[in-house]
Amino acid sequence: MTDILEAKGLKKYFGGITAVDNLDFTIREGSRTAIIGPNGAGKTTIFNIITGDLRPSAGSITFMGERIERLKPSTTAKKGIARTFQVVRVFNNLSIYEHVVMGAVAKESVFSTRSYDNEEIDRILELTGFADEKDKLAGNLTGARQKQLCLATALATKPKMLLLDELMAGLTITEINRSLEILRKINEDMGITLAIIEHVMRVITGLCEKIIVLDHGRKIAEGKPKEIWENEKVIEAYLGKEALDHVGS
Amino acid sequence: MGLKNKKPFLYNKSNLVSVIALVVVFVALCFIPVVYSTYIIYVATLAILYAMLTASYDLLFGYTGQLSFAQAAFFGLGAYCTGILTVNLGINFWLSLPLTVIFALIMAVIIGSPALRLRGAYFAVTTFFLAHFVYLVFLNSRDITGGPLGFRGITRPEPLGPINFNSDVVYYYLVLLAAVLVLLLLYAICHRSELGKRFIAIHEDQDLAESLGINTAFYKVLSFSISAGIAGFTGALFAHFFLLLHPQQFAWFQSEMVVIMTIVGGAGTLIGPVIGAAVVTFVLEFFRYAPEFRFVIWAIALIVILVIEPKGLMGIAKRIGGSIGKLRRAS
Repeated sequence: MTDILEAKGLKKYFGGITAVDNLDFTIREGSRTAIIGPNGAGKTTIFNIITGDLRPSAGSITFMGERIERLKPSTTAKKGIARTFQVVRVFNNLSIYEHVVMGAVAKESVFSTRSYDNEEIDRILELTGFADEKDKLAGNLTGARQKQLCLATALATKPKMLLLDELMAGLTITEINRSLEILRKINEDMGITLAIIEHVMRVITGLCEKIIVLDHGRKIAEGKPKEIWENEKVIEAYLGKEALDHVGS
Repeated sequence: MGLKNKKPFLYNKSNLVSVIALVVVFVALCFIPVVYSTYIIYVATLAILYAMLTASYDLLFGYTGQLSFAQAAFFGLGAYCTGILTVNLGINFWLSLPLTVIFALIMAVIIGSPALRLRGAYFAVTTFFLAHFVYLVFLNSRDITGGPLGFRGITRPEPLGPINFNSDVVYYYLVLLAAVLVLLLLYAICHRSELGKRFIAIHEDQDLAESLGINTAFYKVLSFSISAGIAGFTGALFAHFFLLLHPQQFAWFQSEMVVIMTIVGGAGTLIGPVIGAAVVTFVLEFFRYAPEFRFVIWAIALIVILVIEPKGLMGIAKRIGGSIGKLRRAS
């Protein structure tokens, strides 16, 4: 398997604050990678740099052999990167069906005569559990359903890689289990690479093959879930030095 | 690829009632010159011109979600452009009309490309100053625009075969025809095209639209330019109707009137702003004997409408329609 995304020497400063500090990482094609870390570790900043919402202060990002760190979000979307937002974003006055259609046509030129595939849209609505309520307005949905709609809309753009920013935050256990099932299908059946920012441990251990742990913009650990939970640096970053002493004694 | 999905992609699904209402209004407008005096024809022509201007603004504000206070500036640029082309350069009206539209489009791209990098209130404030800047240019470029003395010498369009536009009635029908074409064009863009979907997406959430692959910077400038192009076109028709141009006609408060007409009628409905423009123009004319009083009435009316129904007259009409529907179902 090749790497779909490679970041080298990535840096991002916001004034005097260093959000991302000399970060290197890779994401394998078709894999499920989690990016975790305490609040303010720079996780969302990394997503914003990958999608082009932010320009890095230094470093490079290569997506499928192409440098993308200077591109606009709409251009990276055309190259096959889709995302969901940490703070839920939907088109309030459009229906669920219209969201998925929007996702399907957004990349095309206005003058394109290519039409979207109705079956594909139905399949996405079916997969994400919206088949029965596709004419509902997005603004009338609950927060949890809106998050799912973000996923459906992103999926409709036919991405090669999907960046999920805390998709599970605020969901109930049942909803998390359902979403996990959906994500697994997206990854295994549709072959879409997943990169996930998440705080819900259930999702990380249950879904991801590789975890990248950040703290203060630096990578402090990388590996399989089991290795990460035993890593002293990770325990220290999350729980503090005293906790580590306590574990040690 | 599957079949093209023809399902309309709209804010307001068009229905039979509004189509019939529009046809009735159109027929009524056709008969105005037959029934009424020249004064009413004059007011009706003005109302239709403002309706076109407001409808063009609705594309930018109601559909693309960009609050601009510069619509009258493009209206004025169109008016002065055709004035200079026909009077100073002696170009035929029918040639100057497309040239004016192209001029307005180019100006909109030049102005819109940097200005639309700003969002929301910042963009609105920028356009406000732009409108005032354009007004000052009209006012102070005496050699070109005539400044405060006005721009004189514009004539009615050259005859097209047997049709002579010197008569107010004939010109009224020309404006009416232009308005119908402009509205059909705007309807096609907003409700029937791939372009409209992208404008609506930008209105709803620009960041989400961009993340899905919509080049928001490009489409915002495109919307601004189409809107300005139609405003310039309307300005040209206005110039050859009014025959005398004065900077006051295109000052910042005229742009504000366009915003008010749009909001009163109901932004993002296309029909609403047209109704708003007609209502506002007629109300202003009726209170012509008390010019200062008009603004007081107007301010109160605006507040009342926005408190009762933020979606404007179209919202009120819909509510009435909705309750009629309920009554019918109940009986």
